[in-house]
Amino acid sequence: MTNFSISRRRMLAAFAAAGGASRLGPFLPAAVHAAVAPKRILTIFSPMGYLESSFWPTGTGSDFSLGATQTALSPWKNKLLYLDGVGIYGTQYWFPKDVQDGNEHGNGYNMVFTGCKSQGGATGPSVDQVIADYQYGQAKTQYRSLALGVTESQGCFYSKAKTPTIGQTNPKAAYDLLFKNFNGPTLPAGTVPGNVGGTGTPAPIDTSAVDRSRKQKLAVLNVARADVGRIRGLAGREDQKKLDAHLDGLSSLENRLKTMGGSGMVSPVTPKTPSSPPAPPGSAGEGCAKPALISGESLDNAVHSQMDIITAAFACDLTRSASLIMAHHNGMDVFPDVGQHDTTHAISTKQPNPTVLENHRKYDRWFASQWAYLFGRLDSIKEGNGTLLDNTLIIFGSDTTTLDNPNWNEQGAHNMVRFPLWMAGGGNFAFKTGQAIKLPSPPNRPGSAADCAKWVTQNQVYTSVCQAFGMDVNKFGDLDQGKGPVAQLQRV
Amino acid sequence: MDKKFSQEVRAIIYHPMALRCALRLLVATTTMGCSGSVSQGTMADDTPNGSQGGAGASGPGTQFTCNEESSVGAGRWRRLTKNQYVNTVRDLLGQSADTAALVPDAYTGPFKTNSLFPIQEGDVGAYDSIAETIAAKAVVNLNGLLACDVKAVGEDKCAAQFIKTFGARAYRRPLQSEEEAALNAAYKTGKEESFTVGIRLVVESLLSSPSFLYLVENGKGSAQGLHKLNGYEVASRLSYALTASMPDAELFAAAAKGSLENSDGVRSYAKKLIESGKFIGVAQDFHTQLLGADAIVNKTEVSKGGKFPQFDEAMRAAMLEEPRKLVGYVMSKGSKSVEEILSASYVFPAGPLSKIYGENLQVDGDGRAQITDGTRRGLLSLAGVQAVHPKQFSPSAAVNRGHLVRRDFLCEEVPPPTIAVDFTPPPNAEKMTAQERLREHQTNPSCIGCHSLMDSIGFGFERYDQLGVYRSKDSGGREIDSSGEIVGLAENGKFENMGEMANILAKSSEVRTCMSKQWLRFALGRDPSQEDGCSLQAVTKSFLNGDGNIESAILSLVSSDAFRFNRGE
Repeated sequence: MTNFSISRRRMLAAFAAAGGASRLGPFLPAAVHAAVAPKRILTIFSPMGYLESSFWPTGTGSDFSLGATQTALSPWKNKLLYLDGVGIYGTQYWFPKDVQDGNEHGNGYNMVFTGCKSQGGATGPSVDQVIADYQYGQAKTQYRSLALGVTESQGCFYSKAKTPTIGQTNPKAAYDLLFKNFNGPTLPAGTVPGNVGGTGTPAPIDTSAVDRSRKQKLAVLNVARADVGRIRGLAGREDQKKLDAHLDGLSSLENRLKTMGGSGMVSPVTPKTPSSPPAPPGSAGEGCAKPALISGESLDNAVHSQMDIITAAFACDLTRSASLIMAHHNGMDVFPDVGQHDTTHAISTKQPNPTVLENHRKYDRWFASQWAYLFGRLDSIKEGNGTLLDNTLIIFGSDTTTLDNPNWNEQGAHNMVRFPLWMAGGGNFAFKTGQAIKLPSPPNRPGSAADCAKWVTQNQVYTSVCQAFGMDVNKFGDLDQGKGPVAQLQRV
Repeated sequence: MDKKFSQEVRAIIYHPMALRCALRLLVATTTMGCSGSVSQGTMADDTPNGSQGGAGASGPGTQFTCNEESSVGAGRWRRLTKNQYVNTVRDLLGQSADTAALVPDAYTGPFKTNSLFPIQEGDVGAYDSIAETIAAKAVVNLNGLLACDVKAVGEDKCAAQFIKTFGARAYRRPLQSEEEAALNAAYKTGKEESFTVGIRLVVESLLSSPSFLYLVENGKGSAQGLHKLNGYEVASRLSYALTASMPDAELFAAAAKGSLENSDGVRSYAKKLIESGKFIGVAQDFHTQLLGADAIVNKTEVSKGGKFPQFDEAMRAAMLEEPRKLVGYVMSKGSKSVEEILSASYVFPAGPLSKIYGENLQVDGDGRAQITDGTRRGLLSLAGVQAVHPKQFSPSAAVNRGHLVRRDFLCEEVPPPTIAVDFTPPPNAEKMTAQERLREHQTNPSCIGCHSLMDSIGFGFERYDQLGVYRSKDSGGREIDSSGEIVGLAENGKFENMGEMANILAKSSEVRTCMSKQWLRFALGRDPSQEDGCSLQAVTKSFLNGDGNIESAILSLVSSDAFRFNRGE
């Protein structure tokens, strides 16, 4: 565990109410000491997986070389964690209809982060949301979780059964939501965030004005709350769920009010021992700064903007759980140079054509370059002895992955085993990184549920992840087969 | 064109390998059954179980032919879409609201409805921030807002009046006394700072409340689970379905008077709303959402690859606008019919679109140019519509274009391919025409069941390139065959070119039947179900009449049981 603390004055200044458009100014944290860095989870979906031969590292343990399309990640090699030999259980079309109801892409989309059945949507929550619930129950950050998208807003992350989170695909809107009234340091455009402090002179806090604003805002929320209570009597079962979600949102808003400045602010919490979890809400470090919004409309800019926003939201402890959908499992035809159908779908049961293999590699290199951008951002922010990346567990998932030399006729190049469900970061609290773990590899061709069950499943991976976040669980999702966590993952 | 094509297609539809597809289509196209012969059957105006005659309201001869236990499909509350929110704030306070902070609207089918999923955590806060901005602006002209002489009447009294009158407009129904008390408490809190702040908090509270943000309807109903909507609930359904905004003063008055208690009353007020002209915008929204026309936005990336250098922001904007212009013209100056929308022989070649349609077109005072050579016919032939659907890698856009017609205009679900599909282009693909390449679909048993339904429609659009530009020859200099067949229609679905296809669609009873389902979906924010059979039948009957007048069909819809009754889910 790391220790870090920053001056109270600095954080108060950073989070002071700015007035202006919102009379409350920022709903920003007031706690200023953090002896324990928060644990964050970030889940990222990208469509169509990777071409197997150029994705997987060669070598095992800490002695490995990155795959040919993944070399952009070299600077962070010791923070990556490959699990070669995961099978995404349940996705294949021949699984019974009460397990899956679509084709492999749609099933993979629903199942990869949930470990749940695909029945017009996943039948349970995804790992980012399970962790969000758990952590928010312990420490109420300003947002329970943050859902973002690039070209798609929903479909693989679920808060509850068949209830997808809906991500903000407009970076400007996400930015405004989190940072519009932020009065702290602002990163000059083009700079990499870090503990450089940024620029800008925060306004002084008028404690009595903040108290008054809080009281007024609570009066408004009381009306909304009472309204929910009254109309609940008219609601059918499904609409009651909507009102529950609305109430959750109101509670989260009220919680943000409580953590703002003013005389009623929450006192900084200093844990009794450095290792006593969890970090109190508002455990923002020196690297907390308003991101610079990237202008210019391009796919790269959209991706980078969303990654900057996630980085800043984590650095300022606005939330500890975030998700990012790069594109729908069938939706990346706007991809630069290589259309999605030039990838897995172009590789047939026949002899693969070198052009389509190279197209897939292009596609994979582009994704790796995006991940490199994200790692660079997170790793540039110091938190104690490590960085924000060390305190953020990133899980990458996809709907399928690709065989170079397909010989499973009925599935073409599509593959659901040796699945690139891989991780990065989190080395301060989760798993030992800088590892390429070779899981036991069953006979190569799963043709039945029993064959599939021989592989390490996504459910086992998420069981391990939940345990790393401190949850006392031994299973995850409704496709769990009771096999517990992944034994080969080494906790730190 | 292979003349045996249609027989092959028909034969292969029943091929066992197509079973998976065929079964899905069967589910999607299940006929809506009403027992009995009286197609105008509606329930009695006051009793959901239909045990009494409904004479008067529904005309002579009305009998109850529907299954009273389940004659209305279940629905959920809708949260205002961004568009509805903006319109509502405009009508309530004369302001333009900025909804960019909210996550994208959620869909039911092709339509933005916000009915299926609960609100996102961040949106609750975003609604509050938006409400705060609106409320602060609203109290700048306090006298105008209050319509009350504060000096003569007193602050608290004016505030109480304001809560009652403005609150009823915001919640779209009269307030209950405990609601007035809750708002008064917010007022009092604000008044500690100033009277103005007190009023501001009232406005912000109302706009942050679910009663404003959702179309709240009693979903509990009677023992049978059905609820006859009260006048205010009907008023809101009507105004959002026909004007995409809150009820106006006349509609509120009608609700208060009880004039919306029977289907004749609903119909007559619906007529007034349509006559107000606001329905035109709604019809435009309906058609552009149906076409998925927003997707043109994504084409920016395509243009960056240098593939379509002539495609730029201005052209994208013009492409987005043109379907609205066509529907707007048909609904204001044209015949207001499905037939004209789908087979109009004119386009609106404004600005950059002249590069697509040709520079020398004669444009009339409405911005229309007649196309007499048959190269364009109806909504589906517009450049922007054709540019939305082709994908970068498809040997031709026929599949996607055909899929659009199947799914959205014929209401048939075509499932995605299984991964057990060989996507390799056939050998010598570059020397083949699109049809030849797609022949694989017609011979491969795992493809044919679904692809015969899509490709043979898509061939009709083959003379439009990926930007929607008309061409008679493909890039290899070969003449493009745009003949095909709309398989599965009651009438002959064969056509030689796009113009003929448009005419078939424009007159097709299957399309009209589908439009009645789509309008129900759009107006009520839910998928139609078996229980809506009687209501749909009335709407379909209206659409089948003559050229398919949309206004008449909408009047049938709003006076149907599906519109006037509710069943919670």
